Amino acid sequence: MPSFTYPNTFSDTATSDADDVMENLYTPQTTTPNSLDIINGSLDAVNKASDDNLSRRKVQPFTFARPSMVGATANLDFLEDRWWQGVDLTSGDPDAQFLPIPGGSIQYYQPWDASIVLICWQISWGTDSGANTTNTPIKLFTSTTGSLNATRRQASHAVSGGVRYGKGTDMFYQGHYALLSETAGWKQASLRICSDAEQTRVRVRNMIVIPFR
Amino acid sequence: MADIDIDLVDDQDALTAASLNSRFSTLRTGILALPEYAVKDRGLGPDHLPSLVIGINASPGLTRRFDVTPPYTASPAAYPGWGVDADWAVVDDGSGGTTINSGPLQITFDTIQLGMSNASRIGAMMVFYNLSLPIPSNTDRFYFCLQYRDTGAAWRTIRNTEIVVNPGRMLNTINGTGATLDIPFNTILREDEIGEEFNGLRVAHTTATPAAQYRINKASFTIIPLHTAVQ
Repeated sequence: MPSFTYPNTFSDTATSDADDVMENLYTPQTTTPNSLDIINGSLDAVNKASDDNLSRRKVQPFTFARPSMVGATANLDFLEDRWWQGVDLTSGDPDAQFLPIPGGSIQYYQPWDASIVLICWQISWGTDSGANTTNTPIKLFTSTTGSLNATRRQASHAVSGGVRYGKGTDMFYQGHYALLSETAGWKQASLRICSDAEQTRVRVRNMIVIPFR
Repeated sequence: MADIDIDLVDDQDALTAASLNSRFSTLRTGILALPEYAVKDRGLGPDHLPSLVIGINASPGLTRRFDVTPPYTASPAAYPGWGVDADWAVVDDGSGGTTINSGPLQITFDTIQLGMSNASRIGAMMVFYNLSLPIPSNTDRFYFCLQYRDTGAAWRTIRNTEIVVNPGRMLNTINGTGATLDIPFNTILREDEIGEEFNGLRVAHTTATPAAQYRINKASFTIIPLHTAVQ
């Protein structure tokens, strides 16, 4: 489909028949079209001139992908005594205590089943702990699969002195994660943090989600 | 409909079989070669057009990742020099895994050739990888690159993807504390980078110091083959 061949060709010696002309003009078919009825919804890529690409203007928005992005610029301070007092990060990551990070959390709409959903983010964080035993992991959570192994961990450090933010000890994480064969619907993805350091300062640049149909 | 020019029948014109055939033929020829501007703006949507992502029968899939505890100790070979194919080995988790969630950062697929004019019609391949290295206390340098597998099953280095990192030096106050270093890499491969047929991509490593080791606990690797034009 849908090249087509007319049912009738006319010759000088044959008796002219209006019905034959009409068949060439309009003979609806349920399978391969054979008349000019082809223009009633049966055109496809075969009917396009072979040397022409279709420009972007011909394609509806979000036909191939529906990207979304969130971001933030402020410093975000997370305090252990307010949110995670007594949390034990030495026996695994307690997912339920991870908090979503503003600017690193997104809800997006996916109007069709996606072959692949690409999630990317840029974030940095550091703690003020002087102890060498604290941990501050950041993990990716999605509505489809829960917490994922896209985790990075900023351990504290035994450097004496006060606050160490921005002294070259922050953890920088420009990550990606790919979800395959995602069904349509509203979805969420978020970077979440948990820490047993006294204070954690997060600087998030953005989170980008690109569902490809 | 555009550029289909039918000569109308005027008074006194002979309506012959040849003229009828000619007019029907003109219509058919036009309908089989419609110009781009015959398509209405925003006339095509998800119901008309296929996905930009091309199914390439990839194994184990378009993405691969691992998460190993304790971290795997990698011992790459010595760096062979810029653009040299030999001695690079795939980044691995040591598990021998073959699924999306374990095993080497390597994805193989049916043979393709980049470029929309080629049969596979893959104009570009987006590639992402992330490596998570527990920061060591040594200062050995390690090299990473992307390699593709040619049709003779040889792995070829994509020269402009070579990078060098020194995990121990980058965060010099927290060496050995358990903090992790993230190595991100994003690129788009086109036929300028890989001009020949190939059937695999992998993340490979070497080291500047023979017998040097580094630890790796998490990694991810994703390829997305895309049409780059609607033809």
